[in-house]
Amino acid sequence: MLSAILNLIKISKTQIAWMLLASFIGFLTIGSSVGLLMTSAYIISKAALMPSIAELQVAIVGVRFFGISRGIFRYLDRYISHQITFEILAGIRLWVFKVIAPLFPSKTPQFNSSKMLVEIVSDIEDLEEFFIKIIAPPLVAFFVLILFTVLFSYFSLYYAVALATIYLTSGIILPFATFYLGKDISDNISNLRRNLTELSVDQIQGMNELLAFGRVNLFTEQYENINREYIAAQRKKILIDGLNESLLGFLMYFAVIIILVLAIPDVANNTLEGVYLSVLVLGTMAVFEALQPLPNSLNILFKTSKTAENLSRYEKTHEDEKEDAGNYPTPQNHSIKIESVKFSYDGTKNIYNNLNLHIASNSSNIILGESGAGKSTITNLLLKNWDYFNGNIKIGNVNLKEIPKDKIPDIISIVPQQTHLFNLSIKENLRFAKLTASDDEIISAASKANMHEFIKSLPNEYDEIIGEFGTKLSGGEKQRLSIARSILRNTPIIIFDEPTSNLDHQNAEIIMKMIYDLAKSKTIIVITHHLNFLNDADKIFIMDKGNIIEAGGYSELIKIKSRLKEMLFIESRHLK
Amino acid sequence: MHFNKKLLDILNPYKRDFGFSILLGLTAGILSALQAYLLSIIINLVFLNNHALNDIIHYLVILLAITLVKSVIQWGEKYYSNNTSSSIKADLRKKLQTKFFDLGPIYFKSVKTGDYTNTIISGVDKIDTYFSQFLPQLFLSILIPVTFLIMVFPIDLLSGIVFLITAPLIIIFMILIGSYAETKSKEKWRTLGLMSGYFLDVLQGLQTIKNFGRSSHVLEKIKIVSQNFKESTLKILRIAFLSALVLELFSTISIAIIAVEIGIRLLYGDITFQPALFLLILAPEFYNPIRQLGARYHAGIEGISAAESIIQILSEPELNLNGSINLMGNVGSIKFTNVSFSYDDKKILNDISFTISEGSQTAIIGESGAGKTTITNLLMKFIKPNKGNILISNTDLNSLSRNEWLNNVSWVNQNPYLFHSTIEENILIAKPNASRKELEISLEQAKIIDFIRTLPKGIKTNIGERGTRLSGGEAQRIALARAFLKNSPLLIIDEPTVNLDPQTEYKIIESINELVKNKTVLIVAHRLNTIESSDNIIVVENGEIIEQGNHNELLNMKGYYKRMRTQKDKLYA
Repeated sequence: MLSAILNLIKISKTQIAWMLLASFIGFLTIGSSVGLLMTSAYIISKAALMPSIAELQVAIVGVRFFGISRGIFRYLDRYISHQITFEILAGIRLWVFKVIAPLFPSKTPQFNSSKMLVEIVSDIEDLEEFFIKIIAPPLVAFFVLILFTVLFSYFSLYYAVALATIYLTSGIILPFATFYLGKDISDNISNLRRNLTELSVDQIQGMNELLAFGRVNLFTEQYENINREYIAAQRKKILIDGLNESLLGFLMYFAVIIILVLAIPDVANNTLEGVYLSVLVLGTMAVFEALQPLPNSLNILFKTSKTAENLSRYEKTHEDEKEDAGNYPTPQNHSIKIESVKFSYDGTKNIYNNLNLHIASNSSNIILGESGAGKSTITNLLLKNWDYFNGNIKIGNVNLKEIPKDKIPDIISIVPQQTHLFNLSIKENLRFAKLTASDDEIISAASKANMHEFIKSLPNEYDEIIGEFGTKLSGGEKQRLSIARSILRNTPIIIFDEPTSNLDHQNAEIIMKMIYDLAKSKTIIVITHHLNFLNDADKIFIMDKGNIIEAGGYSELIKIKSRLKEMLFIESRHLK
Repeated sequence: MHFNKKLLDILNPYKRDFGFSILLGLTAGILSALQAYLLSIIINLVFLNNHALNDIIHYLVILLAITLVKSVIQWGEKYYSNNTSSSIKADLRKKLQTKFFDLGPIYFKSVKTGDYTNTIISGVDKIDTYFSQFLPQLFLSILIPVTFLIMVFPIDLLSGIVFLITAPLIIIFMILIGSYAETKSKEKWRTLGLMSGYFLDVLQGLQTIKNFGRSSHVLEKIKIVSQNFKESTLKILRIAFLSALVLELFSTISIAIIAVEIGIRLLYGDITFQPALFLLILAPEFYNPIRQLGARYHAGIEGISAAESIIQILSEPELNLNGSINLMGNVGSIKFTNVSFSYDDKKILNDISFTISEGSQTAIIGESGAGKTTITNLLMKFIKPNKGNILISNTDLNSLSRNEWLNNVSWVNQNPYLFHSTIEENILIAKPNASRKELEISLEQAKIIDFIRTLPKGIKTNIGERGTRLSGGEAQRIALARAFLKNSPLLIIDEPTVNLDPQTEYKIIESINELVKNKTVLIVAHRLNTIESSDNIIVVENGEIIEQGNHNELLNMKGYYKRMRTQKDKLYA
């Protein structure tokens, strides 16, 4: 728990000076009201003795000063605290990106679902309170402790010790006691909340099924039970928090009474001037303000440390990934040779036992097979997303293992089935592939992917922002943008994963023609389970259970009693 | 401000508990004044009348007793205000939950599930803070200062006037700056959301970023965007925090004014020490409720906006899909007579008539968006016709009890939903009292038993548990197992294989061929060859039936069906 928090502080270390400053200003805010009440008490007590007004002048100035300073300090405190918060959040985002990016995707299976990503983002949002609610309050309370210890021991060490004892009890023992009282309940609350959320998702997304199977009443009963438990747990927690508030109020007056019990005999025997009796009492009352946020700090600390642990977990998988980015042999051509490759993602189920595949430089190749046959894994290995396999992969006679991972994107690009388009303009999304691309280059790439006319029809043309997940675009439009991006990238090898899956027949034809065209000067691999547009491919590979079971040109394969022919037959007389 | 009529209606049934909590809050406030009064007496006696500790010890004991009682009362206030809000919360969540079912599944088709789960979970929780924190404080911030004023005026007129003038000033300024700050703070939350959205976009694009080797480029961009975000948000906050400044400034300056005013009058003997000290100790307590209100202002705003979305859902018109009559005897024949349906003023089905006789198989084909699924939704009572009627053996479907009717129906659809529980529970939903044997047979019939055997926890595997994500084909098999287990006389099949690859599709259809035996079947299909053996084929286009008949009859019509047939044959010739 503590290590996660320390890690957060480490990430935010550039902010430590600012944190101290903000906490000090927070202290000055409370210090101002301590000053205001003590000097006010002094004025009134002193005035009761009816001295000349001159004797009160300094105190009156003090009261005016403290009356104004508190508001100003409060303002500065909040402003600087928030500035720190934004810096911390920015730091954490950068840190998360730096940790995840090198590991993605092979060493971060946790991140490979979009639900987890949403969780990370909201985890980071939860850390918003890290400084304001966790770091600052104890620091402020500590500064206040020093302040009153100095002030009170000026009158008598006993007062200082007595107040410090009660102050520390209220500030440490009370919050921890109630925290532990409520800890199980907090855990219970978050579990029940998750249950209830899942049930709500079940209700809305599974409503068809609930109705179809006549489960409405049973479901409602279950829902209400969990809801009742959830509310009961929340209620317990609130009552425990309430206990804290009440006890803090009690301890404050208890401290006042103790100070009175100690100070009254001193007044009687003249070791303490009577004027200061009210000053001490009001001072005692004022310092307790610093303790009010502490119980909540502890609650939030607990929650945040869990979040911080979630995030730190990923750092543990962080290994030094540095590769020698020095010289590496440049591939002379762009053929691909996969030789006796054995591979498994998780060490249990082999995707390939002995895969052999030869792809000629500057040719068009189709890899056909059903889902699960192991087609996409070829991409993952070629891109070095996963780099632990037995056997050899060579690109133009250079062993893949000798090519640094960060040079791969210059050699191979991929058009994935589900592409990610950033919530930016079309132009920026395309330029992502080549940061130096001119507008003409961008337009030419878009035209090749048959997207130019569509883009021209948009209100802002190439500057149109495409929305979250490219929501403004259809699946086919996204796919064609992704294709345009790869054309712009202009790598010698391009892999297309199901390039026509979202396209209508006409667009599919245009795109496939363009793809075959590219093969004149590039090595092209198309991964698909569709049996259309096969005729023009230089070579077709049929993959089954991690093996290439057939390879050859279309006309060549169609003449013999091939698997391809069988597949075409099943497709046409499907389900008879 | 933030005194919403509809929110008060929600409070109405619980106003006794609520009133009691306010009463306790007020009592605690009065006890604070009493504490201040006792303190002023004690200090006065010791300071000016030279009393010793023994002379005033009884006052200290009373003070301690009052302090104790006050703590208990403060806790009681929490207890009762929370009684109220807990009941409201339970109530609202129940109402929303019931309402969701009343609105029916079609209502939720085009919306983000997250919005609704948010409303029913966080939204309702926010209502809690509104009723347990903001609203009581609103009352107390008026009641306590007024009570104190009543105490102060007889003691010292001038201080009373200072209190009377400054308190409303604070409130007025708070409202003036507060409402401005409120719009500003909303802006802050909006930009905060933008930053998170940007970062999520980056994370989701990580594969793309890596594919193009752009990690360091993106890292620089995150820095720039964060910086811009920070600057623009701080610009907003600079103004939004002014309300805090004003609140603090006014209440502390007011205390300072009281101290100086009383001090100077003490000098001239216009007032005596004891009441002066009482006023000074009381002054922070006087402003405290107003400051507390400022601190809970945000809870108030959030509560109201949460309430707005809750009330909006609760006031959606209901569809009244449930009837009361139970079906007598078998399902028999199903007859659509001139059925029309529109949604959002868009005509989806127009004047459709056809009959499904008992034990027959009917197929519906047509382009996507033609209205095929709407026909099945009508039969499932997810929606009801705007015009025309559907007769089940001469009984109007509208008048049938939904639950009772759906007992007779098994439904296999495009995207079967799997609940957050085990595979077993997900299948047993179709027949909770099924025997072990029945369950196993259905697993075999749906051909999922082999897959389940590969899972370490077998049928007890929790769906969605780390690592167990089911493929579309596996999910579809679970849906089939449900249908085999339910074994009802009417079977509705809605393109169950549309999202699957051809090989998986082929295997699923084998199971379906088993399932349809000896049942009345309505099947929506896009594969033409699945339907050749149907007794009746209905071709739908733009919400209307354009052709109807069996395979040979339709081929002879030389219309849509014939055209599709030839096109397909050509494709694979």
